[in-house]
Amino acid sequence: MLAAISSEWTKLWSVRSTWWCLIGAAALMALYSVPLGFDAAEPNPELSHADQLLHVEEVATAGLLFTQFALIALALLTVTSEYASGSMRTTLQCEPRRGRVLVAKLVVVEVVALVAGALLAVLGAGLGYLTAGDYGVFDVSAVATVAGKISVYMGVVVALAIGLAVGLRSTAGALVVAFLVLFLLPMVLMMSGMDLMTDVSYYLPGTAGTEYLGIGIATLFGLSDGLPYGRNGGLGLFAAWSVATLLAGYLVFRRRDA
Amino acid sequence: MITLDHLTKRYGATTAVDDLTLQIEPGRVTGFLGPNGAGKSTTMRMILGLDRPTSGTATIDGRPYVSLRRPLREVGALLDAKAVHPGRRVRTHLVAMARSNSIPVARVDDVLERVGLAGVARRRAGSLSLGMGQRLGIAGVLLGDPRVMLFDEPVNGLDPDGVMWIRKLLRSLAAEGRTVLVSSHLMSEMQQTADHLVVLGRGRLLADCSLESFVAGHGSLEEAYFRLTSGSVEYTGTEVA
Repeated sequence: MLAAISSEWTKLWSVRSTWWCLIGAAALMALYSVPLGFDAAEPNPELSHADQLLHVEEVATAGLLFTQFALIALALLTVTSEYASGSMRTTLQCEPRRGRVLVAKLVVVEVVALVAGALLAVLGAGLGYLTAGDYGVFDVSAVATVAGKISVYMGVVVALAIGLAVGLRSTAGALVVAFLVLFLLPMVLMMSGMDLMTDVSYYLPGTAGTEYLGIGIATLFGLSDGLPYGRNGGLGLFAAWSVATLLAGYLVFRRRDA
Repeated sequence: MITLDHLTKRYGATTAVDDLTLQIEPGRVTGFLGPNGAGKSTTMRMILGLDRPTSGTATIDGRPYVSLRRPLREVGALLDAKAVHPGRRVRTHLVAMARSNSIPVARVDDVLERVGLAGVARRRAGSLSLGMGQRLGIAGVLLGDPRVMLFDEPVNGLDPDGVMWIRKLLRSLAAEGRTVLVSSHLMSEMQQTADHLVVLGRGRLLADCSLESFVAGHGSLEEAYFRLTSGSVEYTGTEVA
């Protein structure tokens, strides 16, 4: 198993797309947090100083909604780029037990996601603080807590991505599905204003996962009181989606000709 | 030794490989012939566990490929020279393969030297010509020093020097007692390389005999091949008037 993981580790860092995805993630986080910081730095005479304070850990959480897609792309590409190039056949010649191939890919991507998630959180909070002038509040323990949660969130979301990738094989297909279930679909359903649609939206991975972080998609629509679960419940539901997607992906991967 | 036992692969109504039973013996070059669509590549993919047989088995020294623990040390295969991530460097591609089977990384430089790619080890695989890609695929076959080797159309895209090099390489690998299975459409090349022939047509076994007895009574391998496969060609163009 270690041999397969070592091989996947070598493969991950020897293609440019991995680096581009990480640079992209950092850039997206910066693009989100810097304007938020500058915005907070402008004094608003109608509000008290305390009301204008920017708790920068929230900047990191909010930035995650977009930043995650760069890491999702990184995770997908470990599988879909091999299908696109035909090199999946080389991979399966090296390790014909497909479950092991999947676990090895998952392990290396998890390591990257957990570390990158925490670093991105610190980056977002740090940039928010540096740009918010007198209004930035950098509470180390609050930032550390959020960094931990974002790390966990990224860990769960990349597992979902790998499940989609082995199931669908195509980069574009998997990325579109990820974007739908994590972002667009929850929002569209909530905007519909219909009770049934809203209820369905509560159970989608995007709603559950962001609820775990505290600034959820449901919060944006003022619906977080209606959610049938709390923050930890959100994580549980989110993780259940990931595990189910991975299992479904594995079944397809195991059965289909390479 | 490779053993196929009633190996069959169907895709819906089409039968790509039809009840193939044969053994590919060590110590000689076995040429694997047949028109496009005859089932050569499908057979090779089933030997490697990439495609699942509809029925029957393919084993290597009595064991299915998926049960091999360090398969590159037992079976090497070149299926498609382009089965490489184009953005990965030549050497790194082989290093990743070596790591997966606990093969010492020093071996990578040996095989790069042997196939003549040492000078382009740092190039990205996507920048290689077809012929150089074939050499990279052959490096992958040699990497684990396996006893069984499969080559699907290895001479495609090689220059005349490369073609002669491959011919000598295959002959020497077989002389070392390895099992060498090579598919090709180049009859004159096969006539100079193979000791034994396995011919497929529409998924069925048409011939399994020595090169000598196959060619006997005909002017050349090409002539004998056309005679045998004339009823099995699936894709034909129109003749030029």
